[in-house]
Amino acid sequence: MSVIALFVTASLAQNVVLVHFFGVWPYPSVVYSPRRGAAVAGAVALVLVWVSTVYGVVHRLFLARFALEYLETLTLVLILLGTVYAVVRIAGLVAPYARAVPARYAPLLILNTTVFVVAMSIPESVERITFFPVAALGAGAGLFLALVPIAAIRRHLDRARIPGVLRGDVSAYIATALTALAIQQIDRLVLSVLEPLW
Amino acid sequence: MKRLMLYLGVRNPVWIIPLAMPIVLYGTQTGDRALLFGVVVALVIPITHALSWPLERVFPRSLHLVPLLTIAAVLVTIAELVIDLSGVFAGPRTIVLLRSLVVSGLLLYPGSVGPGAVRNERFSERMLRIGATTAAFLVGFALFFVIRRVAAVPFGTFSDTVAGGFLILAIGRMTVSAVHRVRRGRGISS
Repeated sequence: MSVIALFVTASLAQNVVLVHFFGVWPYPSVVYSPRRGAAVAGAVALVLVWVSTVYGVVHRLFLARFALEYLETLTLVLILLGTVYAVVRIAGLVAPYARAVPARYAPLLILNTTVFVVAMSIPESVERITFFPVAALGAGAGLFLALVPIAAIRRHLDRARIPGVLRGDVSAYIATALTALAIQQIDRLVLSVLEPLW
Repeated sequence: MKRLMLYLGVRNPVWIIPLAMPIVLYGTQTGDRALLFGVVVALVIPITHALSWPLERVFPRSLHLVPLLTIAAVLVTIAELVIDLSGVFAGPRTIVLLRSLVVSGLLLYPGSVGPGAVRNERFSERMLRIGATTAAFLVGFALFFVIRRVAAVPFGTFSDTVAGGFLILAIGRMTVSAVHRVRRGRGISS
């Protein structure tokens, strides 16, 4: 398994928004502007790398070894909660006047289905523990590749002379549909060069 | 009744506030999946909030998501074990998305982080909101499933793709907005 193949598979062939739609929450507001889309994708990617790596290691070393797979959901929830509240606490100690900011965004990071689903899928799809952060980073890059163009198309649609009923959330859905169609074609192009891993 | 109508219409968790889009887009691809997700959502969400309500009073305000998420994780694990023991082959992706119910906005939104989330609300008030949200989700989910199956006749497998799903969502969103505008006497388009 090469690192490049793994990264391309996680970011394009198994794109978390455009191929599977594991979803970011709250979706229409996340794709409100390219800047916000990029910021959310970056924040989710960081959490994704950390949570996926920790969960992957715990899964490989404890859950799978001792046949405790039925505790996967609970384990991941505890890792998610522990991570986010630790970050909020550390941010409060480092910058006490700005501690409201991480506290405000903590639910957004906890509730992102992408973080949950990708972290849970990685130990089953990736063979070596050292590749867990690469796969998570690939999924984060896929998030960025999806959210920023969708937000740009949405902004363009909102500024165009179109009926009022097509503006707002509807333009976000149409932009997502258009980008999902585009990625299908990009996928076929990539497939001619590189075989996806799963 | 008024609250139920509100959640069925302008606050519908499928068409207006897309709280559980991954589940809606994946769960409506086949009849079996739609039934499975419909039953699990109808059971897990009200029970989670009913059990979490007293515990939220014990935990400090900054940790209000801890009991909710933990109870949801335990309930989804039990649901998963029941599915496994009943001999239904759900498939890995179905199981993963079932697990994602734990963190999906649909599960947590009404009671904890949504606009209108009231701290120190009464148990009956909380359960009314959860019941209305769950019922509205099930109605929207069933409608989405029917539209997708009907769309599959002329469009084939396209209606089951992410792009097809989003186009149906866009049409549904436009319809709900148009109905809302007409009811308020403002015409279809501004």
